[in-house]
Amino acid sequence: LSDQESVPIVAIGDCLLVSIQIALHDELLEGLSQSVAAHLQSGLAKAVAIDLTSVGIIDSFTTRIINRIASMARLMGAHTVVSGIQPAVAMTMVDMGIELDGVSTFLTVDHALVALGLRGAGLARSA
Amino acid sequence: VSAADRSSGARTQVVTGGPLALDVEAASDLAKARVRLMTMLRDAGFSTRAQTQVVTAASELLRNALMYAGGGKFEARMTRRGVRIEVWDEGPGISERVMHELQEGTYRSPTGLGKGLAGCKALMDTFRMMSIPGRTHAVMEKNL
Repeated sequence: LSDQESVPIVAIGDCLLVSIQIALHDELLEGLSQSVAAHLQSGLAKAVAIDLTSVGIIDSFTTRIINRIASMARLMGAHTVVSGIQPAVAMTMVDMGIELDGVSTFLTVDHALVALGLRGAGLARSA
Repeated sequence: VSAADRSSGARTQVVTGGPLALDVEAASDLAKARVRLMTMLRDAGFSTRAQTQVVTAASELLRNALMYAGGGKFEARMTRRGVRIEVWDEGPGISERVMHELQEGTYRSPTGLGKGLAGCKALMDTFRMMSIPGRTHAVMEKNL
């Protein structure tokens, strides 16, 4: 685990796609909030899509960070969608009684992007 | 945990059924502990759901140790019934009142401590926590 690690943020149309691929730890998550804020400040993004397909563990801390990113994005005029929560992760979150507040959730990143009006043919292709 | 062990990386570590012991002093140690524990549980035959529950509970305990005590010791070992996870730290400890509220599930804190520890209780088969100033010890078990 090195200092070079970061979470890539890709702009697709007016959406910021944050694809979390690596085991998250606190500093990474803190840095992520700041990067999202900086991208939003540029004024080009109307939505933040966070894809959690590769995330095997979501604990209360991770949830708080995602909720914080969503609140911050909302205050800056963007809404947040979350995709890819794995079945075992979803069940564990329910067991713990932790929730993502004020974000729309989608099964896959494709579904999320379609809902944001960014992809039309993607679902049919990847189904 | 030696410096050599730290630099070897989680992937090269072969877990052969012996206990897993780690000093968790930074967020990166927490990430490493989660990866190694997940491997250990998978090798022991826990379901994906149980693996996720146990690693999430361990993550909550270690996160608390990091946030409130600057770190702690983590140990996971297989028993005849399943897995036992223990975390020790030398932080200020949790008061009796808060501990009682945590057990009842009524504790609320701005930092989310309540959700995390109540979560451990919900995710594991047994969960006990003993705390005095300078010494907090949590033990939890999940049956196979």
